[in-house]
This record gives sequence, C-alpha cells and structure tokens, in this order.
Amino acid sequence: MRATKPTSAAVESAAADLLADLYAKSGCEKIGLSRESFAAILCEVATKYLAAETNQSEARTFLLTLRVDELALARACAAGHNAAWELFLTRYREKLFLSALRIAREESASRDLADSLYAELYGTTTREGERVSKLASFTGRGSLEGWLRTVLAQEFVNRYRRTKRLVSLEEESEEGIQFAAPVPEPLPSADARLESATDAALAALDSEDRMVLSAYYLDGRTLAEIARMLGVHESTISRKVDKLGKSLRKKIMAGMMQQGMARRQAEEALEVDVRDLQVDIRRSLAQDSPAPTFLEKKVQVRTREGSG
Amino acid sequence: MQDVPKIVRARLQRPTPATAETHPDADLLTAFAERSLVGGERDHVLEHLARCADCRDVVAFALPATEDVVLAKSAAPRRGWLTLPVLRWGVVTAGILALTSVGIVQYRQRGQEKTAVATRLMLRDQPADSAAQSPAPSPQVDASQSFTSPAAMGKQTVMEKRAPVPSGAQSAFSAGLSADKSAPAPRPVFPQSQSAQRAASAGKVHGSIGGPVRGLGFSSAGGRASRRAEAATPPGSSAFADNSKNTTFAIVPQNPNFGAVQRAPATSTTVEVSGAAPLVTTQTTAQNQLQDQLVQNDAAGAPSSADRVGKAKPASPQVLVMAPAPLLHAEPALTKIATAPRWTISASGALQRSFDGGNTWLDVDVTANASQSANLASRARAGTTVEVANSAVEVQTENRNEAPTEIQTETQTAGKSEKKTTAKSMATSGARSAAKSSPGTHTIFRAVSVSSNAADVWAGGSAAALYHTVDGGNRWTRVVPSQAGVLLAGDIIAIQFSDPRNGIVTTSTAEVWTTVDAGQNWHKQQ
Repeated sequence: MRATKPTSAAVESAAADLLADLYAKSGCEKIGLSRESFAAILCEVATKYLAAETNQSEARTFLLTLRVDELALARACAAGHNAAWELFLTRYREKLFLSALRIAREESASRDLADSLYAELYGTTTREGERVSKLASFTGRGSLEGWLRTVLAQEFVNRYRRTKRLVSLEEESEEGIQFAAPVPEPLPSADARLESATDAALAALDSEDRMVLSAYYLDGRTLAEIARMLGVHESTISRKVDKLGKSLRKKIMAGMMQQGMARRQAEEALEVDVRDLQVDIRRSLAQDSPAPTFLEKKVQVRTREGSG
Repeated sequence: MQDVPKIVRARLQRPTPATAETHPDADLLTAFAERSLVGGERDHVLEHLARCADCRDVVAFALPATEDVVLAKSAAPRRGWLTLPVLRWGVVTAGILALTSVGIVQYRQRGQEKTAVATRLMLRDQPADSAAQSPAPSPQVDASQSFTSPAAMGKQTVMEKRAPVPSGAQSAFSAGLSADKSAPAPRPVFPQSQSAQRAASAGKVHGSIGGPVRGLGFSSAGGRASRRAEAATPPGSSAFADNSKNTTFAIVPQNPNFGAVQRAPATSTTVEVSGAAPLVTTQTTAQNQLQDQLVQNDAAGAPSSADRVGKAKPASPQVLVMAPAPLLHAEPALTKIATAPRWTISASGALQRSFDGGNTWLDVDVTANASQSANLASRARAGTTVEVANSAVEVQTENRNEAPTEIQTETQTAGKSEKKTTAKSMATSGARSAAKSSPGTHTIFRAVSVSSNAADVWAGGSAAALYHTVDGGNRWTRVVPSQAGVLLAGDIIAIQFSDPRNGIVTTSTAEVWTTVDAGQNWHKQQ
C-alpha cells in the first residue's frame, strides 16, 4: 500500500528534522537500509495517516510515536536485504507459528496459515515486475509482532468465511443440514415503536459501549477477552455490560412510552422474543379489536330488536 | 449478568451500511489493540469495531498470548498462605490447640500445685536443693520419728480420730500420717513419697498437703467422712482404712505440743481444705515454729531454708491457732507468687524486689551482672551510649559495706580484672565519658518503672544512673541517654514506661528525656 497523497511540506520538514535521530534509533545501517530510503519511508507513513493540513509539530509527534526500528526492519525485508531477513526470521519465526497455532487451534491449519503468511511476507505477487512483500505495508504504528498477529488473524477470518461457504455435500449430509429447517425469512419487524426506541437508545451509546455489547452478546466473547481487547480490567467490562443492559432497557421503555405506549404494553413489547414474532402465535391469539363490551352487545341487541 | 432485551441483539446484528466501508488496516488494528492510538483515530477504529464483527474477530484473535496470566494463576497457590481455606482451618486448629493447652495447664495445676510452688521457689533459691537433701520420712514411720522430722513439722493437716482418741496421741498422729499419705492418692501424677519428700525439703508446701482433699467437705457426720476417707485411701494403706472408720477430719494448725493432739470439735470444723493452701505465709509460720519450738530439729535443713527466705515475718498468732484463717489469707498470696515480682525502692534508696506479693523484699543489685551486658553495650547505636557500670560489679546487697573497698582495689589494680578489660574493649569515647560520670559506687534509686511487660523494668536514681532489665531483674544494663552528644544529667526522679518501648524519664534538673524504641535512642525535650 503505497502512499498516494502528496507529501505535505510540514511532514517533510518534520521528517528531515528527526531523520538523524530516528535513523540512529532504527539501526538501519545494520540491516542495510540507506538514509534516503528511510526518509522516504517516514514521509510515506506520515502522509498516509496524517491529514494534509497537519502542522509540523503534529507531524513531529506522530513520527516520534512510530516504532522506527521495526519499521526499518520490515521495510528492509521488503526491499530484500538478507541481513534484515535473517534478523526477522530469528526474531519472529517462532512467534509467528505460535500465534498461528493459537488462532487456528489446530496444528495443520496453523502451519498452513503461517506458511501462507510467509509467502505473502516474502512477496509472491509481483507488481510491475517487482516482488511486493506484505511487509512493505507495515507502517510501525504498532509493534511488528502485533502486526503479524493481526495479519494472521485477518487471513484466518477471511479463510473461515471462505471455507464456511464451501461445504461439501458429504459434510452437509453428515451435519444433517438437509433436515434442517429452511432458512428463515428475514425477521419480521417488531413493533416499529420498539425498533425506533431501541435504535435511539443504541445510537445514544458511545462506540465503545456498542462495541462491548456487540462483542459480548453477538460474538460471544468472554469478559476477559473484551477486557484485553480494550486494555481494561475484566471487572470494568463486567460492570459496564451490567450497567448497559439495565440502562438500555430503561431507555427503550422510556422511548416507547414517549411514543404513546402504555407501560404494560411497552414491557410486553420489550419481552417479546423477536423470533417468536415469526411464529405469530401472539398475534393470532391477541385480539386486535377488543371484544364488544356487555353494554355494546345490549345496544346491538336493542337495535336488532328495534329493527325487527 | 443482566441480559439485554432480544430486540437489542437484533438491532445490533442488523447490517449497517458502515460495514461496507473499508476496514482499518492491520497497522491501525494492531495499534488499537496495543493502545497506541489516541484521539480521533481510536474513536474511528472503535466505531468501526462496534459495527464490524470481522474486525472484532481479528482484534480478538490477534490478542497476545496469555501465558503471563496463566503463569500468574499457577503461581498464585504458592504464595497463598493467607488464603481463606488455610486461615479457616488455621483458626480451627489454633482453637483446638488453645483448648487443649488450657486443659493440660488446668490439669497440671490441679495435680501439681505442690510441685509448682516448690519448683518456683527452688528456682529462685538454690539453697532449696540443700534442703531437698534432707531425708524424707516414710509414711510408715512411727509417730515419734515423724514428729521430729521436718516433714512432719510441715504438715498442718492432721486428721484426728475422734472415737479412739483415748488411745493416745500416738495413734491420733498415726492417723494424721495416714491422712497425709492418703491425701495425695487421687493424684496420679504425684506419687506420695515424692510429694512427701518435696514437702519436707522445700518446707513450703505444708498447706498443700490438704490440696487433694479439696472439696471433700469434712463434716461431723462420721459415716460420710469415713466413706470418703476410704475412697481416698490408696491400696497400700489398708491399715489406715480400718482406722478411718468413724473418723472426722479436722484441720488444725501444727501445734507446739503436737504430741498432745488437740481434739477438734466436730461441728466447728466443717472446712474445705483448699488446694491452694501452700502459701508462703503458712510456710513461714511453719518455719517459725520450727525455729521456735523444735530445737532438736533446727540443725540442718530448716535453718538454711529460713535464711533463704530471709526477712520472713513472724507468723501471726491467729495463723497458728486458726487453720482456716491462714488458708484463706494465703490464697491471694499464691496468686501473687504466680504473677510478676513487685518492685519498690527502700527508704535508703535501694532497689528492692518481692516475689511474694510484698511480704519479703530483697535488695536487687543492678550492677551484679553488669559485665554480662557488655555485649549489649557494644551493640548500641550511634548517638546512644549504653554503658555498664563495671566498677560496681562486685557490690552485693548483703555486703554493701564492703563495696567501696572492693571498688577501690579494683580500680587500683588497673587492667588486671578481666571484667575491666571487657569494659575497656567495648567502651566508646562517649561511653567512657559516661563511665566517668557514672556513680559506680552506691546508687540511690529514686524511681522505678515496670512497663506493661512485667519483665521489663527501668530503675533510675542519683547521678543519672539509669538501669534497664528485660528479664525481671536478673541482668541489668546501664543506659545513658544522650542526644547529639549531650548526656542526661542530674538525678533521675521519675520514670514512666507505658510500654516496653515508649518511656519518659524526668531528672532533678527538670530535663525530660523520651524514648520510643526501648531506650535505643533518646530525645531530650526542652
């Protein structure tokens, strides 16, 4: 992924300013990366992430947060320097395989995963006659090790999605798919007022809360996993999920009642399992038009009598 | 965990147009997971993660390994000495142990009151050993023999045979002997011969012979008494068992004309003989009797023990006549024996200690063991000088008159005494000045303080003399409070130690010195 935006003058001057420091820090000399190419890399990375109107001090701060040593290593590998590759393999080969094993949870699959990543890192694809290594897209925002894990995870997720679609007929029959219920129609929309109230309540949450809710209730992540994803303590997530559940319920109720629903009605609507709506028992059982009261009946009888 | 309404899940799951937008690249996701994103970038990634299940999966999969967490968990049990189960069972175990030890202590106390007192007193006074050498009479000896023996002297409990009294003093006394013999029988831990020997040797446990029959409730009802007597009679003394019929127990003090047995009125002596009877007072009574009336017996054991007791006060007449009175009087005395020694300062300024609740006072020589505390002095920290008044090493309370001469000779024969060299080797410059200023000869004590820990005693007096003991007065350390080179001056007139560490010393020059570390460091208050 090459930078396509033109490098701003602020970024250039900041990069030039810090070049000597960062170059020494990155240890580029050992892995055969020249000063000029390193400066180009810095500009490229900064341009990629920084807006065009960024001033020099912001660019400077950004550049200082980069992991220049790993960035230099990755780019040197991408450029095909042998010393860099040796260093990379000594440092990350084992870790990469272990990470793959942890993600795939199975040896052959993990080996497969790691090998395919190695191929990409080395650069099997070519563009304009040049090998393009995946390492060239590393920008040093995070650690190289973490980046490798993320790339592995992305690859794994892609494959998982791919292989999930390709299920053999045998497997299908083994799993009894043919006997499974037909894929349900899109869920019938629940009460529109309920939906809108829910959407409003969800929209009012900040993105982190929504992410926690999704990860916990949709992805089935454990509290510990979510906590590690966000870098907080498990108990924090536990409290947050608990609190979010309560406040959401309260807000949705309030939203529905605001839209003119009675409290009892709103409570019922909230408790309805959306999947139940599909069966529609409730609707069939519910009397949309209330039964005529005794008085009305009497009136009806009288009118009949009167007419008769 | 509270569950969210189903509709919330449904709406969360609903595909949003945002999913179609480009995913953050691996760098950004990595930086997010490593928390190196700030501000808008982080919010942007978070917003995407809230909507994109794939990227959430990627972030979750890319989490670093949790070996460290696992390691921490596995290491946790090792440090878990204070975990709840351990504590719980520890408390239970401690409770059982405490109950058991209390039971054992109770049992021993009940069974070995005599031994306890005797041992305690013997520990205090070595001469008791010499007394212990005196032959203990066999219970089977005839009346005249036992009458002259110290053991017989010690016995205050005499069983008087009521019906056959006319048969003479001898028979009555033999019955008394039998009572003595039978008395310890219920105690399995205390063989009677041993108890008799100890009673004789220590000469202090006379009263305790009545201990085993505590609670028997002697009464004039002869039948009842005899039944109990039979029960208390060991198999070996069957002869007594025959005699014991129709007898009444009467507790009478030992009498000068012991041979002519007093006839105790049966109705007047419904007495509970207390196991705590062995008292110092009764003992001194007995010894006074020994000294006064038994001329033939005061040759060997008894006088020595009397000396040992020292200032034993003459027994009051009531003690001699009325047995129950000394017994009752003695109870608190025993408890005082069991507690810590008492301290006082005599009119002449001598430090005195009493082990028997104030009945007898012994002078304590704080300098007697001073040389032993030389190593303590060497351990003293900078700024504090703990000095031993070595020059007074030889001073004993008893021969205080000779003390000055001894000191003189010692100072003149400079370096000869090994004690002196010890003192020299450890003397620091500050300590040396303290030694010069120390009185050395005759300290007039003016204040003594026993802190909450009874073995921890401070005594102070003339010429800045301040002594400290942590073992109840066996070993004393001279303490010279100093702060920044300034030494405590004047006479110490008050010492207050609320606990072993915190104390206040007041001098005649109106200086107030405080310490918070048991005298290691001192602070002079202006």
